[in-house]
Amino acid sequence: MSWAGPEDIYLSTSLASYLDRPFFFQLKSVDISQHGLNVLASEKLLVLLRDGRKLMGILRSFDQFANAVLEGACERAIVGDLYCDIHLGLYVIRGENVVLIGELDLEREELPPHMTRVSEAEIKRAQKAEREATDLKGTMRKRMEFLDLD
Amino acid sequence: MLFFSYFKDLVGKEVTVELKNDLAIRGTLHSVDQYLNIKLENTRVVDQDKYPHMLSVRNCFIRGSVVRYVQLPPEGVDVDLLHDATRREARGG
Repeated sequence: MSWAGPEDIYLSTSLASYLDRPFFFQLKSVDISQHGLNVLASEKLLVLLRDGRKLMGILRSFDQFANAVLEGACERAIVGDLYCDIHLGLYVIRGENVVLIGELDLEREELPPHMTRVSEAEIKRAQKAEREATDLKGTMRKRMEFLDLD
Repeated sequence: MLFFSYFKDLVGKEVTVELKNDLAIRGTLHSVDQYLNIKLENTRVVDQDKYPHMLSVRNCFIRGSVVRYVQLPPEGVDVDLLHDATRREARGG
């Protein structure tokens, strides 16, 4: 068995193409000066988890189960039109919890313009309020079940 | 292996992948592997307003285990070929 060459990696479903660029270019032994900009713009990824959380960071390692190591990870909490990036640090994610790993386009807007960034405390409050609202909706529905709404 | 081969033939076609969390992503099929993990390019989410964080994602890797449906282009399905392949697979080779 031989190691996959860089071209194979690029064409395969492997996460290797999402690894941090400098490593990728060393692998490719491409003239770094030509791709200086790409090297500087280390690739930021969005990892969507099964519980709906959204993590952002730089992919440092992965395996066939999609276990992944994210460096400089932060969680993007979104409630309605509010959002906040909560810093987390170095994260190892167990593969079974991964839904999707996406590459972020730095030229495109990250979020729609009408969304506002708030502090961590504020987003926590908003999350709590949202949770309580859904809980309340659940209990109301349960109480009204005898009406057979559906 | 049948569906792996089948999806490999669809590489380059435009598909919509529906996930178990109800997220639906449309994009060009870039590659697929033995677990039916999928890589999509030029992705866009079908219900963009509901998933604002997906706005700037241009290509993505989707873990095979979270896929519910893959919507295919009608011309990408050769029913006769698929029938033959299925029978061959059922016979065990």
